[in-house]
Amino acid sequence: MNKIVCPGCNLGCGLYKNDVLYFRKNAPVNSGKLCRFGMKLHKYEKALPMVDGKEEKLPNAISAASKKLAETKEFAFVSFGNVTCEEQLAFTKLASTVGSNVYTCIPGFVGANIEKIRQSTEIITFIDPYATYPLILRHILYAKENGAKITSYYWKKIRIADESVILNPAEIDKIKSIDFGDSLVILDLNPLNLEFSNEIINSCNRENIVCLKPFLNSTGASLLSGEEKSIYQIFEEIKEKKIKGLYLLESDPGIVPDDALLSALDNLDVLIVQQSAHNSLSDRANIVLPNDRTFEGKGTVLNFEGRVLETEGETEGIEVISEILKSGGKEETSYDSLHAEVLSKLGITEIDEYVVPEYNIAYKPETELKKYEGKAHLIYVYTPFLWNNTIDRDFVEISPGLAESLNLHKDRLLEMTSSKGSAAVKYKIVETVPDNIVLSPMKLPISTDVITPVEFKPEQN
Amino acid sequence: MNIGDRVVAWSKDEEIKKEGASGGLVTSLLTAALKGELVDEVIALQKKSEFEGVPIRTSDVDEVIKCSGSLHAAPINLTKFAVRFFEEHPDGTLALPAKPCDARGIIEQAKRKKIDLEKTYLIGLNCGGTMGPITTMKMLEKMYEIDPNEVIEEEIERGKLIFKTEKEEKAISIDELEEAGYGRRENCRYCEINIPVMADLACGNWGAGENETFVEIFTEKGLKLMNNAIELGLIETAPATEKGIKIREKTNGVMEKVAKKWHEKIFVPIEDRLERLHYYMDVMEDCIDCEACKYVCPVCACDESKCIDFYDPMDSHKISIYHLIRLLHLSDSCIGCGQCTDVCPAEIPLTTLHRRMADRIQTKYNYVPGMDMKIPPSFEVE
Repeated sequence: MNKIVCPGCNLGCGLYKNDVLYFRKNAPVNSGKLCRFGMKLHKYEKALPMVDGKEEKLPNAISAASKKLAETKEFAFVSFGNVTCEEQLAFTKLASTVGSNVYTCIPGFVGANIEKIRQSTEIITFIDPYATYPLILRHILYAKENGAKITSYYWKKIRIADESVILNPAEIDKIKSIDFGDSLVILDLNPLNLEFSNEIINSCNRENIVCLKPFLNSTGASLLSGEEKSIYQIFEEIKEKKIKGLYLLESDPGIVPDDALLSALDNLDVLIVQQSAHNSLSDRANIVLPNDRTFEGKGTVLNFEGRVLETEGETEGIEVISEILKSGGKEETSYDSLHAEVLSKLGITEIDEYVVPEYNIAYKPETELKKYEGKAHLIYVYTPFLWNNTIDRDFVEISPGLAESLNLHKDRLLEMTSSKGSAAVKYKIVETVPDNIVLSPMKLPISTDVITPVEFKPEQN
Repeated sequence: MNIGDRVVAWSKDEEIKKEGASGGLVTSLLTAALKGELVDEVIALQKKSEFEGVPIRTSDVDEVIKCSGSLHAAPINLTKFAVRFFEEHPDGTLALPAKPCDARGIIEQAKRKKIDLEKTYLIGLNCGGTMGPITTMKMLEKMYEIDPNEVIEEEIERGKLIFKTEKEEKAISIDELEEAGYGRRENCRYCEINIPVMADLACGNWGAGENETFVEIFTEKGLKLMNNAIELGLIETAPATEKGIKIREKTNGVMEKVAKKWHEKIFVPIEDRLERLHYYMDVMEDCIDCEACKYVCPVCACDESKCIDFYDPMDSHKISIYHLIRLLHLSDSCIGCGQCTDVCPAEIPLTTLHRRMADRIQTKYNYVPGMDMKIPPSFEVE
């Protein structure tokens, strides 16, 4: 069996895999525990090499990619961190051959570790630990059992919290007045609403923030990359033709809440995607390069704590990028040299998954909180698992009060309107949700952002 | 040698004797089963460290030899690995080492036609309980003041847990460790079945001398395993001494008594029905619907799972229908192996919940699951 790291998010859960999955009971983060994502690892449709919508032999797809990289100016490279550090580093080398950077869309930030959660006496969370990062829940539970006070700031009441403050999108500025004191803060640093996370990060000490991230190697990837751009900035630059070519490594820009943004991809001269799973992005790309699934290859991964973890697959995961470098006449790279460089950049000589290395990272973001108008809001409560197509929730959560005021009957649909149009969706009544909020784990076509002002249409008798 | 015999035995292979526990008998029985073509494959735990064992399925004798040694901090149940073997090889033959909860899981699956017990050789392992690896590593640092990376061997002897490094050997009583929140997994503490009498033979160090394994033979298959290894010249045996037999019985008796005490402590009855309902509702509320407990459950045998089919996450029930169905469905077959509690990311004490329900049902129907093939499952109709 191969020791692997679950690719569901950046928590770094340890597994073993061959024909079956087995949970590593001595894995430092999950101790043999696992959420739904880890168990669905093996149900992927593999991507095939394609050029201009037609299946091609891999060498032909590689040489087509190499040619496009050479002839297209202003190429941007994006890798959210769904690959190992070695592959990320190989990708940055490839980007540098055309004078570009790799953007991960998530800043390189490492905060507090799991042990700090367990030892805390006061914890403030900005996530729903039951849904967004389920494997963090048990550490919060442990702290609570040992007397920690848990305060939640979220869109609905959170069961584990001693005090639940429900956030109102129309008054989001109120988070600026939270007194964090010495509390440990748990938040989600993801590419969709960096403004929100940044506001919190700027208000606390780095040592007191646990920054959870959505992609397997978000932390490692961002630490190995240089200058960052947000996903929205990249779309803007594509629209303005400042970016003419885009190379996506295991990164689907379809995670953005507003699907209209995706039409910017049509402005590109060339779109290259290198990914393991076949999806709608494969159909959109000019060139598709199949990638090994991360859990099939070997390499290094950094979890949200900066803990260095190993995956022990058989492949090296860098073959396609190496071939592109070779085919473009550039200096070749090898797994061993990349691995040595990764360890050197991390300042370690060997990997010990039970020890979290020290990091000293300065991150002073300069962003402004977005303002949201309206009385009621649809909130896209994205989870890493949704982006990996493993969430089977096709309903929204609403309050009993909202259901009553709209005269909703069982088996009917909730009708909502935003500036983008109307949608009718299945709903679940949840007592902890406030009357002015609709929580959706799926992206709805009427979404304009993570938070979308909406109006409701009452059910007719 | 006959069924019912109690002997001591050990490996004749010096390497196996050195690496394996108690004279390496179990490793030798497994290798002999492959060499003598008693079985097609063997399931064993490959030791990665003192805190990590990975289940492997192999027909390679050398791979089996690499699995030598005991692991108390790798609480893995092998039942589902055996189920997968028979899914792939319905006519195949298999041998595996089995703690009582492995053997009981296998028998429950055999009753549900997922395992062919006639073709499965169960080399039973006496078990006083297993420990979670991460908890054990913390225990080593705090209670033993030993770096977990330096541990080369661990052993349970006379109620004490012993860890050895190159430099030293430290022993602390299991009672003391468990009082401090370490030691065995909760379900192991109240498990009363320490000798796997439902296996083909039972192996252990209770009542055996140094570098010996005490063996009790229960079935024809058990006899075959022993004779095969003797014929191949891989093991040596001697009759068990009266003193050894008494020590083994006494140790087992002490373990049973301790287990009963733990059972009373953990399963304080909740007499009031409403209070009982709220107890279940409250602990289940942390459920994140991951279904991991079903995935790992060694006795869960449904092809189409009722617990999933009848559960819709969109329903607004105040108590999880998924868990209610599982509580009922497993009430005849739950063996209290602890795998569900181990895997639950929300730390729901699932094994305790299931045992609370199963204790009542299994007592009422006088049915102890996983002990033999004589009584069919209470809730199943063939």
